[in-house]
Amino acid sequence: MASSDPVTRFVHDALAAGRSRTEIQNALSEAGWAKSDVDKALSAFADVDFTPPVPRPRPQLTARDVFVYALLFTALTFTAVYLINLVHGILDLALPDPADRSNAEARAIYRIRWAIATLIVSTPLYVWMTIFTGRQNAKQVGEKRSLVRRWLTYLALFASALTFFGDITYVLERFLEGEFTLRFLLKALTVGAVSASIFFFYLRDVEADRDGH
Amino acid sequence: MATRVFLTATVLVVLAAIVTGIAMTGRPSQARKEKFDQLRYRELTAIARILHCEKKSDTRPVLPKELSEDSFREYCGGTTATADMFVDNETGKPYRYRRLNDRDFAVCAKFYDARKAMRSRPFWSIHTYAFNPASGCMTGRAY
Repeated sequence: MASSDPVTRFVHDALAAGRSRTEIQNALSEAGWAKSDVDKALSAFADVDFTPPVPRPRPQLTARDVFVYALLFTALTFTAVYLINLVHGILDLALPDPADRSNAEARAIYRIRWAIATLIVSTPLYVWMTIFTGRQNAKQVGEKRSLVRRWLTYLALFASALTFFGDITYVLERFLEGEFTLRFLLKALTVGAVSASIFFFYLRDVEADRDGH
Repeated sequence: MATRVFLTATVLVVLAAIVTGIAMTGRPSQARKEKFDQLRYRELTAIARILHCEKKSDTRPVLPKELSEDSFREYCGGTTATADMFVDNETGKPYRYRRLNDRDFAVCAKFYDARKAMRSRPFWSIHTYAFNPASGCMTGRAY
């Protein structure tokens, strides 16, 4: 079997040599392998009396999965970033800062319109993709489901982290440039609220995944 | 279930933000008016810049009788303008040009909101001519 994983290769060879599962388990444990690694390697082969060992089908991410999730998380990132942008633009107009440049109003208006245009495209796409992938995943069983979900979750957390880093940096830069007003506080809160809600929504998925195992 | 709540909340928040944004920046028809205003402001500035005539020559420039490609070709030792520059792009009517004397001029347009057009100019554009948002006129003097 062409496996690059040394434990799986070892398990395969040991089973082929007629060793029992308990023996293999003990040998690997003594060698210092974690129980989860050992179980995972053993589960790669069906528990039937047949030589050579019979591999179980292993879930894999397909090119289609990558396409679907890349699109989903691009839509999520754009929605998050431009929702923050839109609220910041509205705050710029609603709470003008006397220290702003004279064309701050025009720039805020430009920012708001750009954000609205982006959101009109990205939000329905994100909502639709989430519903679509949710239905697809409901059809999947066991490991395939958790594999996709794990990827989904960590990609979302990555998107959320990027949003947070990028926007909080911008807000802090404005603060250093002298925007220490109520507006600064509200802008920082917006970034925090959007990032946190994405983070916790997808974190819930990781927890559900862990409970499932 | 949690997914439904999250998606519903997302849609509601985004919709509320979009509606607020449009209410504050104006509908597309309003945006179009602003765009024409900005164009007016820019064209008045461009005309005033030419009339101001920054070139240093021995003879003092005498303001042209009217705004036209021909008069601009002869003005200030030779300047270039295209006819569309003298015309309000929305109404198709020429900008009003007043020649106060041989040196002082005013070019005027009818704005929806001249003050807003003024504010939308880049902060670094400082000119040696005066814009009066009440009259919509840019006044200046050939050097």
